[in-house]
Amino acid sequence: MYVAVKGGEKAIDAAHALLAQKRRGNPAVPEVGIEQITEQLSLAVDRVMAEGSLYAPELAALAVKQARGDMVEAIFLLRAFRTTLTRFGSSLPVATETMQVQRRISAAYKDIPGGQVLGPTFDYTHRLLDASLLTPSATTEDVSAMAQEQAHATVNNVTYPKVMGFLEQEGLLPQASNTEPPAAPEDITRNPLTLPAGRDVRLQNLARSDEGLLLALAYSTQRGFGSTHPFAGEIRMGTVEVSFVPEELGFPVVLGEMFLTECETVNKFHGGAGIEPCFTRGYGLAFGENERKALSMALVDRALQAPELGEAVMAPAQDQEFVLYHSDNVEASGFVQHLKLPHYVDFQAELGLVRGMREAFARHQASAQATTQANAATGTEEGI
Amino acid sequence: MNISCCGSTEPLTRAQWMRLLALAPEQLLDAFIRPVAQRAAYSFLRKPEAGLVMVEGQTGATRFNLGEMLVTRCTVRLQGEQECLGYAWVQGNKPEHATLAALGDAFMQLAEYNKPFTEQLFSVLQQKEAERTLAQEQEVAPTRVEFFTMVRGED
Repeated sequence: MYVAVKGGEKAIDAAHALLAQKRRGNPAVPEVGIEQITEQLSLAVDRVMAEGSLYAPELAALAVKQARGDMVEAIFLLRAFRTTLTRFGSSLPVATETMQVQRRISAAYKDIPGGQVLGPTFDYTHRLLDASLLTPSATTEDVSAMAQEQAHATVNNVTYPKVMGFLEQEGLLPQASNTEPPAAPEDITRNPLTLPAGRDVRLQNLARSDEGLLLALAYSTQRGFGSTHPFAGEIRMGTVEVSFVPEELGFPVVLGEMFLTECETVNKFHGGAGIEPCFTRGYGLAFGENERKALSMALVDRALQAPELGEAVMAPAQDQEFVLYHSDNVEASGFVQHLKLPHYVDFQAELGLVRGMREAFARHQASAQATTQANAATGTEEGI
Repeated sequence: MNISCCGSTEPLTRAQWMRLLALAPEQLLDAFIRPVAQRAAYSFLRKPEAGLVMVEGQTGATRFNLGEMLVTRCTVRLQGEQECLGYAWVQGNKPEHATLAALGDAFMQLAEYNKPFTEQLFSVLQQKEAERTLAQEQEVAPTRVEFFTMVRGED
């Protein structure tokens, strides 16, 4: 435990003033604007929105600026902000099959209606530092050449059906029964997380989870800690409309659009728990362009389905308590970082304890040594 | 994804016009609705207020809470021979946009405004939307992969 201490106000004020100064950096360098962050560091903004669990690009950019680029700090700022607002209601589930697609690929099927659309991907780049970006104007020509190509691109009302649909039609992927409408989901921002958690709770938890933790857990399943043999059935990113039913009107209205990344993995399943051999599905969905996160989420979602599918829970990624209670970086960072707060009284107690133990240890050593010496002396005499 | 009815002569439903108002660029609403509103008598039943809507996702039979979205809501009361209420919910912290969208919703319920609004504002919004959709499709179209099947020399 830590106890309240008084004093230090002046030092704290000075530290915050220094923080503001360091945030600004060299005043001779132009200050970065919120629009520059939303436009040019958009993936940072997207990560902050996803883990901050609030879709608000301008505020996420502000958080990135205020936190000097510290992602977890920025996420904390956004989380804190959302607690100050009232909730008007819940949306209808977003219809990702109607997404205005910017990227859509399948690693399971080559030929899919709508085709494989790479979109703005880092894949297939050579990961060589591009020195041309050192000078701001160097890319204008490339962009205009691209625009010309785009203007001539043929677009014939392309639709992008869900790739998973093909497996569902063949009966290889269990489908949702149409008999009952899905239940309204639990909300971990309103009710505390309890175990065992339903898939709705798990998916909400994973959607706001730390990307680094999810990535490591997903990687661990691939390396054999709860292996699930996944294929990236479909990854799509793009814009969807968000609608909700206001009490005042009683019919759904579209209130805006959001950019989402969705990933569905397929996993071979040998059968079990009364289910015949088939494929099973992992699901990932995240705000913004967030492909690594969505893919990792899908792998972990599938790993966490182990008990429902009659699989033994043997690895960290399959363990609900391990995953769900350690996935939130705001909570984790808070508890780890609280160690920096004054623990002076606690530590005084520990000091006393350790000193006491050392005294006892020394006394014990001394008495043991005395006994050995006494025995040795006796032995010498006996030996004569 | 488009519920809009570009080029159609069907009158817009309330859900359709509310959607177009929510997705519209604020400057367009400002240019068209503000002058009309200045000549009309209206009051706020609920001033523009920022809040949250929890956005749900769904996979199979499982609905789940994905995260919240910042939203501004507003309700206006249009006074006149016929009194009517206009509602708006728009994305982001946008008090002006929400006010204009709520006014737009109110005007569209009145016969005298419905036709000119449909012809002069909503046709433009629909056209802008179609243009934007086309531009987005053109942007990604060159990145569509054309596969060539490799001969693997097995036979």
